[in-house]
Amino acid sequence: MGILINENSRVLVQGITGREASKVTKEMLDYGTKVVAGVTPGKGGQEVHGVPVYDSLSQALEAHPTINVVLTYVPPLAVKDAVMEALNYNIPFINIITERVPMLDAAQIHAYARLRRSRIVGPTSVGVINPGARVKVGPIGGVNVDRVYQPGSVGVISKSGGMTTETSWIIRQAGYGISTAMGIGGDFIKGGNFVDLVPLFFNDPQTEAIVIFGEPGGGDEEALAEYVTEYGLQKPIIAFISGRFVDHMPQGVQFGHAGAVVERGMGSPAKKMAALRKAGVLVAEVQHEIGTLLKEVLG
Amino acid sequence: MRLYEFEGKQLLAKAGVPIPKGYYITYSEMGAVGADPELERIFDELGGREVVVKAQVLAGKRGKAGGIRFADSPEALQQVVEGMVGSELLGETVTGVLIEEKAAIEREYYISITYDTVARQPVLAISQEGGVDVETFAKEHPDRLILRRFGPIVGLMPWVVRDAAAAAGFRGRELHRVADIAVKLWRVMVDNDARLVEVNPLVRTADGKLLALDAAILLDGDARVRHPETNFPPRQATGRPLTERELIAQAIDEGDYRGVAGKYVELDGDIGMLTSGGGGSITLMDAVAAFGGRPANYTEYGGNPPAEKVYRLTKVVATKPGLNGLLIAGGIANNTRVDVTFEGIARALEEIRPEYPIVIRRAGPGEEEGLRIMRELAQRLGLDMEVYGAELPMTESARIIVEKAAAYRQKKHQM
Repeated sequence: MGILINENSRVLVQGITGREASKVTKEMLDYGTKVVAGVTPGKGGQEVHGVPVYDSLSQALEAHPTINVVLTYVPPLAVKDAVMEALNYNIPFINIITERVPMLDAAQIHAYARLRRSRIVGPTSVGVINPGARVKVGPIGGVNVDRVYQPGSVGVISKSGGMTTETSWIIRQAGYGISTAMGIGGDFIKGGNFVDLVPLFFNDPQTEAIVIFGEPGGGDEEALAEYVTEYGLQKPIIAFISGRFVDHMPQGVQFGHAGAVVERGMGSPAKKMAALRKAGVLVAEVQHEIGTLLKEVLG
Repeated sequence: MRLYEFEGKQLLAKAGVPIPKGYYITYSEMGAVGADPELERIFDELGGREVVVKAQVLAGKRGKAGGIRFADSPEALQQVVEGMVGSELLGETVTGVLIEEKAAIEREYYISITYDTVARQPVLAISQEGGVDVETFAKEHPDRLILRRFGPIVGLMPWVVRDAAAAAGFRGRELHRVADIAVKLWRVMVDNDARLVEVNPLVRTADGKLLALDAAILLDGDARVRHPETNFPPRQATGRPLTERELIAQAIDEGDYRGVAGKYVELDGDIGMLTSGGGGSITLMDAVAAFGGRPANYTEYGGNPPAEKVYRLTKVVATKPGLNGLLIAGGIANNTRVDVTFEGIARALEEIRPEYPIVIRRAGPGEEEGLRIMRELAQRLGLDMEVYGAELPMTESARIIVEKAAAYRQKKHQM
C-alpha cells in the first residue's frame, strides 16, 4: 500500500533530456520505478537511459496509455504550460520538482488541478517514495536510497526536501520504516498541503503514524491543526517545526498590512507548534526527538 | 522584492489607477538643490498652495516617524526636502522623496490584493476604515474588513468587488468606482507578477473621486525574468541596503541556473554557517541558537550547484571578520553531490586557511570522497577540523561547533 504511487505507477518525465532530469531518471530506473516515457518538445525520437522521448504528452500517451504519473522537471517559467498539458489529459498524479515557480502560475495550476480532480505535489518537491512498492519519483533518497528508506509503517510529509530524508533517517535509526515519504516543498502556494495529504495516510492501512516537518510562514500547519480538531486525529501525528530562530531575529520592517490582516497572526513556528499541540499532535522540540516520540506511540 | 511608493505608483498609473500628481527627487539630484529653481517649479506645478513631501523608505508607519511633511511655500519645501533627503528614518537612509500635490481628503479607505496561502487563491481585502491603524482595526472589527477569495484563472470580476464593497459599507456609485479600481489592481498583480498590491489609504477627495494616496507593492522574485522592462535596483527584503558580502553572494547565482548558492544574509554573530538545503539550514540555525551560539550569517546552498558556485559562497561566508567557528553541515543530500560541492569548499578553505575551528557533518551522493577531501585538507594544512557523516545526528554538529567556538573565543582573549 502506501499513498500516491505504487506498483502500478507508470511514470512520464517532462523535461527528461535536462541534466538533472536525466540523472534522476537513471536513479529512478535503478531503484525500480517504471519510467516509461519522457517529453521534451523538439527532442522527440531520442532516448534517455533507454526511455523514449516524445514531443508532446499526447504522442507519449498514444504509445504508452498506462501512464498515470507525471514528473515535472522543466524550467520554472515552463512549469505552468507543462502541468496544464498533463492536467488536460487527466493525469491523476503530478509531481513538480522544479523550484522558483511564480506564485500566480502556482495558484492557476492549483485551481485547474481542482477542476480536473488531479492531485499535485510540489512545486519544489524532492519527490515521493514508496519503499514497499520500490517506486520513487524525483530525486528523493538520491543514489543510496536503501540506507534510509526501508518499508514500514510511518508516513512522512516534509516541506523541506533535504529534511525529508534526514527525518526518514531519524525514523530508521529509531527502528521504523516508511510507508510513503514525500517532500511537498516550502512554497507559499503548493499543490499538496498537509491537509490534502494527511487524510490519505489516515486511509492507508500500511501507515500507523505520520511525521510532518513544518517550516515558518504560511498557515499550512495551523490548517492541519484545524483539520484534525474537526475530523479527528485518526492516527498519531508527530510534528517538528523548524525556524524558531526566526522568532528571535530582529523583526523585518513591516511592509503593508495585507499579510497580517489575511493571515491573522499565523506563520510563526511557536504559534504553529502551539496550534498543533492543542489539536493533539505530538510536537518534537529538537529534530531527533521524533524518534523518541515514535517509540512512545508505536511501542 | 518590495517597491518604494514612487515605484509602486508608477505601476498603478500604468494600469490606470488615479494617483496624485507628483515628482520624485533622488539624493544625487539634491547636490544642486540650493541654487536650483527646480523645487520652485515643482511647487508651482503642484498647484502652488500646499504640497506633501514623503520620504521614500520601505518601512511602514513612516508618517508617525516624521517621514511625511507638508510645505506651503517654495522656501518651506526646500527646507523640508533638505532635512529629509539623506536622513535616517526607521533604520533606512532616505535616498529620495516624493513631492505630491496635497489631496483634499474626505475619507480614507483600505484595499489590497494578496494571496491566501491556505486557500491558495488571491484574496481581495476591502474596508471603509483606511489609514495607518487598519491592522488594529481589523483585529477589533473583523466584520468591517471584508475578505473575498477569487479564482486566479478567471481573475477578479467586478461583481466580486461590488459584493465585497457593499458588505464593507460602500453605497451607490462608489460601488462601481471601487470595483473599477480593484479590477485594475488585479491587473497590476497579473501584469507585474506581484504578490501584494495594497493601497492604504485609497481616498475619496472632495470632488467624489477615488485616489490612490499610497502604494505598497511586493513583486514575486521568482517571476522577475518575465519582466525585463521593469528593472528595479536590488534591495534587501528587510529594507536595509544589501551589505557588500550580500551583494557579492547575490552575483553568484546570476546567469547560472545550476543549483543555488547565492542566498546569504549577514548577521552579527561569530559562527559562520555554510549550510545546505533550506530546511537543513534553518534547522541548524535553530540548533546553534538553542545551544547558545550566534550565527554570523544565514545561507543555504542546494540543488546540486557546481563546485565554482560553492567556492565563491565559501569565500563570502568564511572570510567575514571576527569568526570564531565555521559550521559546514547539512542533512543527507538527495541530489546535491557532496564530493563536487566539498571540492569547491576545500579550494576556498585552502586559500583562506582559517585558524578558527571547523565542524563538518554531511552525507549524500559522493559522501565518501567529499569527506575524504576535507580530512585530507585538514591534515595537510593543519586545520582545527572535525569531520562527520550520517552517523552523527545533524543537529549535534551545531552543539559541537558552539562549544568549540566558545573555547576558541576564550583562547583568543587570553592571547
